[in-house]
Amino acid sequence: MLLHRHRAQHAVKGLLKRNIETCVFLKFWHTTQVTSKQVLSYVSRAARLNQFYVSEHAFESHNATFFDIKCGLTTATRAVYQPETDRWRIEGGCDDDGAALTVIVKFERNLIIVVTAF
Amino acid sequence: MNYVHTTKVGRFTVKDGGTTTRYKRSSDGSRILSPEQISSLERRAAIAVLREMELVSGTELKFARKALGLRQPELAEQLGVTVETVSRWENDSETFKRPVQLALLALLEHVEQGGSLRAPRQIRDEKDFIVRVAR
Repeated sequence: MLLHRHRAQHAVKGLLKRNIETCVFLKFWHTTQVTSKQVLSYVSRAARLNQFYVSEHAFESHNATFFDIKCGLTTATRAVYQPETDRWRIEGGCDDDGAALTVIVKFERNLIIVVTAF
Repeated sequence: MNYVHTTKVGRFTVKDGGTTTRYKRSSDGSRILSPEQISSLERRAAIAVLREMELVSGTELKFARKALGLRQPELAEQLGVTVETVSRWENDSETFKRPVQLALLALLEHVEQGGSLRAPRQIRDEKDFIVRVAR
């Protein structure tokens, strides 16, 4: 009984730590300490947990479904910052059919928002 | 306020204006959709097409599968067929019968009403499709 409680507490602490790390990341990603690898890691993790939003424009103007976007984000291999638009280009991933998919995301108010996917 | 969403399902464009869900907005004022909202919109669009059309094409079948969030092996398991069969259906290499479309429609409606996809029992013939769909 004591061992189970200890394991549960450990799991909750780990989960809290990861959530806090994500929140801190989303709040302070503008600073120079954030690397492309960190951005890719957080976006991939958020995609696996369905923790991202999609702009209405992206949803209506492209043939990629939510499932495709999720596949593209979880399999992406690169994150490139675009300073002119203050967005990140998540590339190298593929959709459910295996076709290459590039996703443009932006971070706002602790949210990851998919702006477009192509 | 009801917003009209447009979803492209294969050859068809489905307009969905029947929701009063609240939407978040991004800094530029545009609406942003949560995963649940998008999934629901896609399912409803797939349901509309599968219900209205006598027989849909492979592209629409593929959209319906993705609206359920299933990969080809997972859909094959749900329907009791092989992965190759599902792939041939989606590529229009093989025609599929109406019970397949009805089974997929039933899955979509079941999930849209809050149900979950469980491991199916083995389906032996077409009648099994209809029996399982009717549950």
